[in-house]
Amino acid sequence: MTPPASAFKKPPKKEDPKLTAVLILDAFDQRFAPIHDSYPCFGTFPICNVPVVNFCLSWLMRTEVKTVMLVVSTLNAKHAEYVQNEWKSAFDEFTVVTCDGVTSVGDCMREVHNRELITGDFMLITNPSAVVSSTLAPQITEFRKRRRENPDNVMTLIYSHRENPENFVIGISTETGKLHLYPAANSLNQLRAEKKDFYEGVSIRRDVTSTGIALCSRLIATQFSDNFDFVGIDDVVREILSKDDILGMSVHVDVLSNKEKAFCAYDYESLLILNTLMLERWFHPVVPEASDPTRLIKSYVRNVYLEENGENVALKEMHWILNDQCRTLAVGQKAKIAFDTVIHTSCIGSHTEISSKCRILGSIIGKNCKIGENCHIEHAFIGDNVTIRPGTHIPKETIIGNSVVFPKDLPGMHNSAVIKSAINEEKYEKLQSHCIENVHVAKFRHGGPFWRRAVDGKTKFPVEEESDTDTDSTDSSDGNDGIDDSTRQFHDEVLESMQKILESENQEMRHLILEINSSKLACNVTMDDVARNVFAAFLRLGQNLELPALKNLITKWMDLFLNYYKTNPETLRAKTPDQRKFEIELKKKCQIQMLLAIEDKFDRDPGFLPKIPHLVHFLYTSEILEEEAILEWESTIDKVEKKELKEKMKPIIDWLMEEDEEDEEEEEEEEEEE
Amino acid sequence: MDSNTEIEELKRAFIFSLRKKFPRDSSSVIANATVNLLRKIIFRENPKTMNDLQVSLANHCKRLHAAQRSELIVINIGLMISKLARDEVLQKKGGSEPEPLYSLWRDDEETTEKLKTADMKKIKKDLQASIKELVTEIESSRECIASQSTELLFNNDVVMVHSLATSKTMHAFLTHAAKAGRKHRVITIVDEEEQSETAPDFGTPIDLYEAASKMPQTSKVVLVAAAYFPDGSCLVPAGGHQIALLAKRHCIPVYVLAPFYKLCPFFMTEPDALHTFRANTLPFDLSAKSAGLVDCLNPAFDTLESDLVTLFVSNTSCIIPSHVNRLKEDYYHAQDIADY
Repeated sequence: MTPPASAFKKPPKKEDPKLTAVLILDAFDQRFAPIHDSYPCFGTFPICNVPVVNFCLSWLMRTEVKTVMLVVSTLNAKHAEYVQNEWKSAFDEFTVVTCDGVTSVGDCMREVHNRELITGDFMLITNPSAVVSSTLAPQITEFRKRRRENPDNVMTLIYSHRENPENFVIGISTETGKLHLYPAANSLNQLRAEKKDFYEGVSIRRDVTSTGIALCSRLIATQFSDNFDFVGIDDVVREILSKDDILGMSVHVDVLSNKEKAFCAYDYESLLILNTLMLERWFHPVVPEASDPTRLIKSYVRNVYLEENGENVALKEMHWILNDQCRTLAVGQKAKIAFDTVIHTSCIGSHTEISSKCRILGSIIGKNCKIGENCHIEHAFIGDNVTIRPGTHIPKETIIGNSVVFPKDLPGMHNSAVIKSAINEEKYEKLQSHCIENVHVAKFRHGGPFWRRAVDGKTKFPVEEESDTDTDSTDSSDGNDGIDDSTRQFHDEVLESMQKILESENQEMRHLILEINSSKLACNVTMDDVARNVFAAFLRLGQNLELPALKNLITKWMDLFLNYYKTNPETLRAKTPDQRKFEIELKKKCQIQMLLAIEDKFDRDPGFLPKIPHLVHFLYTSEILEEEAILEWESTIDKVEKKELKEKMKPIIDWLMEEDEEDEEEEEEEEEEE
Repeated sequence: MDSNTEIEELKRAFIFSLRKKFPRDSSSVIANATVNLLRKIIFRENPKTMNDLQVSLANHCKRLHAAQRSELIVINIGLMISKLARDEVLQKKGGSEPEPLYSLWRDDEETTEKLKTADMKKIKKDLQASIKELVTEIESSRECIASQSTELLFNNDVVMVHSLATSKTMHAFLTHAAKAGRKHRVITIVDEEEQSETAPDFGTPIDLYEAASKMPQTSKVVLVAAAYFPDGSCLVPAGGHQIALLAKRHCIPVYVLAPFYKLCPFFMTEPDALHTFRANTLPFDLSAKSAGLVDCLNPAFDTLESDLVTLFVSNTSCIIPSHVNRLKEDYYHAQDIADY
């Protein structure tokens, strides 16, 4: 008794097209600037002396993926070509997509989408260091099943079962794996959960780590190009969740079992963790000795890996002896290590010399370095050709760039990186550097650390501690005009961007809309709040105290208002009837919010009263407000408390009523009675 | 595309095909793939003299083996082809039969001269033909080994086996005996829980720790070699050493299934060099706390000394460990081994 619908769906089931992998080779994070000379793109970072992208590809070739698209910015095109040459025989199709001037994953995806390279479902790997031990076959099957059940199940995010150092937290439905709660961009370790979420069986999980892998439908790429302020996949997830009712799409999460191991690195700290895990063979069969197509690496007991020269490979003799103090490390070709050094969980580049009595713990050291006697290096990331004088103690979480001769007593190393020449501040606008002795010390302008990623992954610091206390007290502070802190923050941010735009010469509305949208994402406010606060902020602009100036600016900034308060017939046409209806409803609500903003203004400043009818009339004639919205708003005005306002609005309301007397006589009468 | 890059591409594709498979293919498939790869390489390089051929084969095999350490088969096949080429040259030139004793070390000068000057073009066809023979020999080796099961397993035997799930040869060996009407019991030792569910119905699956308690009931032990050496020692999948020691304690014969292409012609002085490690089997959520403290000792193979093995079951016959050295002469040339 199979229903015809499912019978109809069967034919495509047999011929499921294989997923295409979209792998992004760059990381777009300015914290990697200090070691840019050694490792110009993220995919070339050495984990166990193997460029990290090789682990990802050697995992990928075991999966069903046969087509790989390597996306890279034009600056790093030659690295991508190198990777392509090495790996193209492992896949049916291996293409490199170079994009000009991209600065984020979002930019890459927009470029890929614009060139129409994505034709079906795809696997998006936003991080070239993503490593998985299994083939993900069950997850891909599950993804397909969900897609067949409902085409709106657009994305499955893969998480591994492991506590993450950032205390990242998500809310997933226990039964279906649907993602319900996702943290806002400015606080990854907090969730705003409501009571109903718990009735629906949402489990809040902190014991998962993102792998940077997402199984996506084509719609995800469309999402990127529709919203050109989206930076990463997180923004898409937030968009889908916040507009659950409009877009009707849902995101699922697959948490891998304990046997399947997956991880990805995004900052120095996690690179070191990845290095350690790789050396300890957690990701078998992805192991250092079997992941690089050209390098020859041999594994020894105690997790020791040695890279060999391809010219004389020995079958028998163990021509290399390390003491018992060294364990869990990878050593490059012809590296010289003194017999009495202690090295744990590290990676030593080729031709590096390490003198006696050194202690090196949890570090990654580049090629051709010279490390003197009695040095102590702990949790450091050291580039190529670095010289470290005997007896130096390198503090934890130090980053040393190319060709630095490390001064013995360098003060004030906290949250900074040591590099040879001054940083190019035009290229890396978030960084600054100053000279100490013969080296330069780079810092973030906002004072955040290099070592760890900012909580939101976007290097914004510091995270406001205030929001911590506020989320707890939102329930009690409901009397406070219903405005909680994130909304107020949003209001302030919008006001600030408006002032900035006002000062700029050409007053580009596109930029303003962009900034408002990003503030909206950052503060995680609803569309209603956006509509209300945008206009409230607009009214607060100093210039808008006088009515004529206000009217002028409204005309000038028409694009802004059209964007937030009016439906666009073109975009409307592209949508399904249901969505269209919803969109119209939403915009009507937005217009009401706009009027409420005016009302708020009146509450605060009674002197504003005489201007209100003129302003409303003007907005109506400029076709920003619609009649229905004005009428509905007017009916909500309290007759007793806001008598004056009601009276002032009466002429306009009457006039509006008269205008369409012919059409809606009955309705009009009812309104008049009120 | 010139021949050199073409060869590099071929080799890379071969390495990728090995690495793609997890768990790995059966060894006969790998052996055949290696033969095919080397045949193509010889065809493209077109070496002029025997010496060139020998050097190039050795180099290619070294590189391939270094990329995939656990596959000693690659080296074995390279040396076998080298020996085949030598035989062809001598047949063409009609060299004298080498003196048996002396031949253990090297060819006499006359033969060496012949080998140096021989024109490889003339023997190319014959070489291709004998390589094809090698392929058929590899393909038939499973059947040959299976057919010997009737000579080794008898009615009412209780046979303890290891790594039945991963070895097709072992499977063929046991089913052949059963088909021939032997009524024996099979106790199979499994490593993982999943394997005990998929184990074939003729065997009783037990865990490795139960091996000691079952050993007194057992009358024969059959293992699979991953590689075996001229001194009679061999590598077996991890766990095999414990079983063989138990068998020795109870005076039970240990048979090791050993196809000819697994015979590695070197004396291994140092087993560490051959150790390949497997996965770190801890659950992943522990990695948050224990990263940096884990020492992964999970070798893929155990070394069995020659005194623990009763018989090697090879393609042609059963041989005792001390005779493996003699078997080596059938497949390899002393000069090749010395030069490698």
